[in-house]
Amino acid sequence: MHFHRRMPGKAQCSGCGDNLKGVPRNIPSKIHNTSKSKKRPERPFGGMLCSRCSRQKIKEDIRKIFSLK
Amino acid sequence: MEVGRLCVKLAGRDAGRVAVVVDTLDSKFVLIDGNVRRRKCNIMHLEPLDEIIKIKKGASHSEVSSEFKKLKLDTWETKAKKKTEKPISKRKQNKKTIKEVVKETKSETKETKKEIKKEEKKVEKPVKKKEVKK
Repeated sequence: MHFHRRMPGKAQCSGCGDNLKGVPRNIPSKIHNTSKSKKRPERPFGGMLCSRCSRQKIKEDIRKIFSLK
Repeated sequence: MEVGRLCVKLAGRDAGRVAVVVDTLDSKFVLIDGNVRRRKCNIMHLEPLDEIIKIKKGASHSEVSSEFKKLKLDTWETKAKKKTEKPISKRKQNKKTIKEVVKETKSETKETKKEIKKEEKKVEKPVKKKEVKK
């Protein structure tokens, strides 16, 4: 029998809980060898929030400034 | 979305930055400039702000940047890429193709044959001594 480690689970959005896209799923020793741009999408809140949640967050931040004025 | 309205971009690499509408192309698409790369954008990916700036339709990048300086906002500027040669390793520089190697071996054999013939012809000639007449 070969010693075989178990794979980690998929990355999830911290806002809604869906599976994130653009984040690879592998053992950490193999992820560390790749370049930085291949581990997350190039966007603010890249590996943290999904595209829908990041757009909502930017809208809320702007509308707060509106209401303060 | 009129010409000159300030807005914030929601999607893409440039999300969260301030931009200006320069031209309207369609009922759906709009030209954009400012702290953002200059290109067309979908209206659904923009959030409008309060202010409107005085700009001509189809203004150039330098005019937009001068207007932004008055409001103390930054602009996005791109540098032209320099063309550089592809780096070649030392190993590949000395590498020869098969044709070149075959040519060299053929020419070498011809040269060696010629050299051998020359050496055979070169025989030391006997030095003649001049007899002095008394």
